Amino acid sequence: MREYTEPLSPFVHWTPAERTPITKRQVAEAERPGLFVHLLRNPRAVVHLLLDRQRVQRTVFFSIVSILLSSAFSGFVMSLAWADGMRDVWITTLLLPAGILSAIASAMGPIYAAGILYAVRLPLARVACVLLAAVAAGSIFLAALSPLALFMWSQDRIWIGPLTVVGVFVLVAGTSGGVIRRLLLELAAAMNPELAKDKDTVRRLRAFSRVAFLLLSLPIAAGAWGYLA
Amino acid sequence: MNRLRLLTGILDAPARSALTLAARSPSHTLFVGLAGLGAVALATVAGQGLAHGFGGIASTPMWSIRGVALALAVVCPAAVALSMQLRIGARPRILVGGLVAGLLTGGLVVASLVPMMTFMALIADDVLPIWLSPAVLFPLIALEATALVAMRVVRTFSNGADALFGYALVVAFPAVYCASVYASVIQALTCGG
Repeated sequence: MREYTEPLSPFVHWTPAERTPITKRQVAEAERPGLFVHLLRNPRAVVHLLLDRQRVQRTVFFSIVSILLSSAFSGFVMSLAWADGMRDVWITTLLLPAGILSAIASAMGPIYAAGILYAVRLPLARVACVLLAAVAAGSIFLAALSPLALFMWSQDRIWIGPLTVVGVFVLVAGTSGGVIRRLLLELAAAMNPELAKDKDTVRRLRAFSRVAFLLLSLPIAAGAWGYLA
Repeated sequence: MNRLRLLTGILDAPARSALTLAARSPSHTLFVGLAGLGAVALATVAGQGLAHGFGGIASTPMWSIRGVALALAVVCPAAVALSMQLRIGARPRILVGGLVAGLLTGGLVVASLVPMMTFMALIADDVLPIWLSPAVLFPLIALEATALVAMRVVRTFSNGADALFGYALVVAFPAVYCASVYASVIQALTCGG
């Protein structure tokens, strides 16, 4: 089992327990990662949650709450940079989460249809779960990076600020796109391992994930542009 | 005794302390972080006051403490999110524990610098440049200490490649702080504040 050691002062009395290296088990016991850690770090764990009938509702609920809170925070922080007054800031804070959830709802139909055309039809309930999980990952990432965008905007409103905002949104889009792709591939592997090994199926799944990402990012980008700009 | 042991543990073995903080409730982590921030603020105010007199204490160090808070608010969430995205070996709560342990260590480091800065100010007889005043220098040193301790925690729980992430922290904290302080100084000079 892997062990972790850190440099210790030779002038301090250490108990034998303190001198022993930290084991991987101690690390695992100290931190049990929550869903938002899984979303960004290990989508395979999310697939197990989505396939578990007992926990799927909780996962979807957590994803929706994450999207609402994270996008409200991002809307608040980012609109501080360019809103005309606090009234505009509060309006953006309230409307941005609603806009993003509406955008997800509007993208579900086209993505379902694209799945039929690519011969990788995903039941509509699973489409909703995957999209919510991917957008939750992206919105958590956006919330974490929005203070950086605000800071850069306050430093330079002509070059560095706008470039940072664009860069943050590109990173967030990349995160969500990556989560969609990994979730679809892992979901297929968990539900139908034989078919998921087939090269043609993997190719179709990858193409479908790119189309799903485009169909999802278009309304979300339009909504974010509408409420933030 | 237990509290003293916790404090010395944070100073001597930050990785193990970060693990302990990760296992406890988030309020413990928040408390240690606030204690670290308070120590940095107190040391900065005391250092600036002893070196240059307490007359301008209400206004002078505020922009530097604001710079520390801004650097923490900008860098910490981005670092935690990026660590998850890059799958750094130190998990998010352990990284937060490392940053908090670093902040407390930074507070102690700048507190130990107060006598020397006071002595330097007395010897130099107010000819020290502004960037050597405790109001500018102490928060910068505290942030560097925070980043170095966090890097130590990252290196303990990660492989060699993840050390680059720790170096990024060492650059990011002072960069945000210096930009914030520079903007405050420019604003004070142009607005006459």
